[in-house]
Amino acid sequence: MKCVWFSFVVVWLFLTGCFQDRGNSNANDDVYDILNIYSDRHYPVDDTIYKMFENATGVKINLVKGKSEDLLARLQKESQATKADLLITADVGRLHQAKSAGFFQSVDISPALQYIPSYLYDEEGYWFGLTKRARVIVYAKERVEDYEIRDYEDLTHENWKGRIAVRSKENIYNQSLLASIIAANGEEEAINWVKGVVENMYQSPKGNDRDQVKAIFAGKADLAIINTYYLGQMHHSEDPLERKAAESVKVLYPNQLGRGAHINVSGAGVLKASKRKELAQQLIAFLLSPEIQELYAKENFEFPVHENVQTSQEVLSWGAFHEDQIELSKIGSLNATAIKVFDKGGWK
Amino acid sequence: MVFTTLRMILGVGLIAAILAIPSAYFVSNYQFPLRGFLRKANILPVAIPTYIMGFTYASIFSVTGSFYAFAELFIDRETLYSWDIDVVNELGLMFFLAFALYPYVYSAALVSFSIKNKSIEEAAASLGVGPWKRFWKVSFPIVLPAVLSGLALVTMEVLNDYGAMAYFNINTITAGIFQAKQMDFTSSVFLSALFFVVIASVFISYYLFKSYKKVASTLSSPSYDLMPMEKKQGMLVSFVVFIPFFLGFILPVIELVSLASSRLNIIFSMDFLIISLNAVQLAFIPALIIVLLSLILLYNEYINKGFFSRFISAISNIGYAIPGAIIAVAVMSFVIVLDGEEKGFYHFLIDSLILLIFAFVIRFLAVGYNTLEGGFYKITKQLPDASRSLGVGSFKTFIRVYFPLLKSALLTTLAIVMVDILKELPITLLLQPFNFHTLATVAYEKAKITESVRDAAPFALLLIIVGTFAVLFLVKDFSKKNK
Repeated sequence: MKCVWFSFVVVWLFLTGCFQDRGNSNANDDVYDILNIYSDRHYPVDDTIYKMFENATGVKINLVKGKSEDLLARLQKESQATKADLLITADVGRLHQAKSAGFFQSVDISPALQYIPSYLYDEEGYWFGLTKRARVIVYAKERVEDYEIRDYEDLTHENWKGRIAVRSKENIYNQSLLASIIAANGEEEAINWVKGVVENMYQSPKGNDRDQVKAIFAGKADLAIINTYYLGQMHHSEDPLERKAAESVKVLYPNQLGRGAHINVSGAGVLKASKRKELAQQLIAFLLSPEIQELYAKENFEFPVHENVQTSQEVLSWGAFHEDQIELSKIGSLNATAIKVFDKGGWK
Repeated sequence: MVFTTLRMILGVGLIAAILAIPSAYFVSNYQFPLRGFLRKANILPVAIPTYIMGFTYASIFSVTGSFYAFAELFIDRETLYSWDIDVVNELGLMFFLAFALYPYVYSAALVSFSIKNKSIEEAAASLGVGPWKRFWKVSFPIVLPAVLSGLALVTMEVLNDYGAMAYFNINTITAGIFQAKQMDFTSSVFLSALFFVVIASVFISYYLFKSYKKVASTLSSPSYDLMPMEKKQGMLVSFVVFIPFFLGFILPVIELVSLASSRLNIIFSMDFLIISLNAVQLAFIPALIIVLLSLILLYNEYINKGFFSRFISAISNIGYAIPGAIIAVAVMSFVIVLDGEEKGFYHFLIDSLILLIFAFVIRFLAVGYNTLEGGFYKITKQLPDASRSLGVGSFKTFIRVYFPLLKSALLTTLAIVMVDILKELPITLLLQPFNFHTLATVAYEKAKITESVRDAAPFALLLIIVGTFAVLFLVKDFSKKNK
């Protein structure tokens, strides 16, 4: 009897396993009313937004969610045969990689770009920033005075010896920050900056952005370099201690008297192999519309790229700031140099 | 990079061996309180993926984590913070990975402790050799090959991990491949080729060597009794065997439950029942294929003795030496190159999950082979030899003699391989079709959003629950059959 049951289960698992229904995953090339996306953004708000697009247009969105490295590798292999129409990924470093590998095609969505500052998208139309994030300095409320630090460049001051918390050089946000410093001060200066910051680190870099804030909370460090939205998430954590950790720091938007605080984007580009270019353009335009931009800002503590859309109240409470308006494509193209500079300066 | 990798492999291997061998030895030789429970319990940490183990322990020791909360009961927080307790480093990760991986050594050692050396051990005992000396002089040399085969699995798992290594910022060769992989494929191809050649040659020579050694130790005793222990001693041993289980399973699970506490209801919702069922199905098909292939390989080694069949087995097993992501990229490129202009066949293979299953089989065949091998060589050769000498064909012998005897070993293998596939992440992330989810990918996505294990905790728990069920229901007690 046991045996009969077992074989029944086996047959059932086998059959249903082979013919799994993945919600009409009709990802075929010849069907027009679908869009296939490879995405490295996994926020719940993204799913909501895709639903809204589906309801508004009747177009079905199919998603592969993965790591950027994997998605880029897959695109490289699939080349012209890929079924994906769009690539959505965080950080301009990666958008630039995808562009220079020839994955994207140039599209013209100028009406949608009317209110988007031009440094936030590729001027040739290969990719477009969807949301903005700022990589800033946070400092210990109780141990650091407002006037003690102003710029990214101040991080190398010997006053901060053993007081800085920051993550590893492998992190692409750090790479882009360094690229912006290279763009502003040149490679030589950037190497010195890296050396100076390494001197001042409280420990060898590890962990993620949240961990750096916690290090300040525990009194191990006094300054940290983080993306602002992680702080927003920590303020809303279920864990009271984590909320306390978030409250123990203050945000400093650096270089306000100079070039401005470093910003970055998560963005999208239409893939060269896509046969649904118009539809893909329509989706990007939709994502740049004020309505959607507001959702991004509200749900995720990110900054909208649309000029007329307000940042969420909470993020605004950390202060208004002036941002580095360097072309982000420049930052992207300096990524390889940034990695070299990190190595030369001994950042781990 | 190379030295870091070697240090990690040696460190994790050593700690895993220290956790696994004493437990396996006591469990298979002595009677002590809770023995039956602990015997199985020590396999359970295998249900926890290495990256989740790493993140969970980092969370426990984070300054806002449970360790400080617990220690605060005795010492005030300021003093605690000033102590600089840091586990997010190489040594820390060695321990955490070993907590997740020691069951590979444990189960391999367990099988050989319980089948191989009973009679010899009993003989030694009757000659008045003390327990310590018995362990070092008699038991240990005999289980060494099994321990090594377990350690080989541990090594491969260490090399396959990327998530925890990245978080702890430890640059192993695997991390090097991933970084290079971003775009510059030529250097990454070179690096992975080099890596592959080294590991594969170690692996192949190991398999060939092992099969040679096996001849010496296939005699097994038909029955044995567990040695009784005094009460105090028994309690002590019970405690010792409990420690690895506590570190590898109880502690991380408690932490995950407390992290997920406000969202535990997610686990019981319909959506997640469906995701879990899908994950089980997806794991089941390749696991079944792997079990069948392992059986064929092992039987082939019995029927056609000689270098060539051992070589085939060794070759089939090298998939495990390659990090998952590399296998995924390799099978993808292979199919794409073969396919015509439209790549219709490639898309069919991706959409039907066949490519994913194929990659799983390549990667995990070694796990199936190694697990099944323990049970396979337990069967004394006399039975099939007799059957064949009476004129029964080799296929019929296989069905009539081997199959019934191997039933429990087959189920065990199925369970172990399924659990491994359930945990798998890099292959799944690369070869997934559109709108596809497994427990591992959902856990990964959640952890990625906020960079914290808290959001992934319910899914990680679900993964562990499914894996635990597979282990509890399917892993059979080898020693029971012997009694």
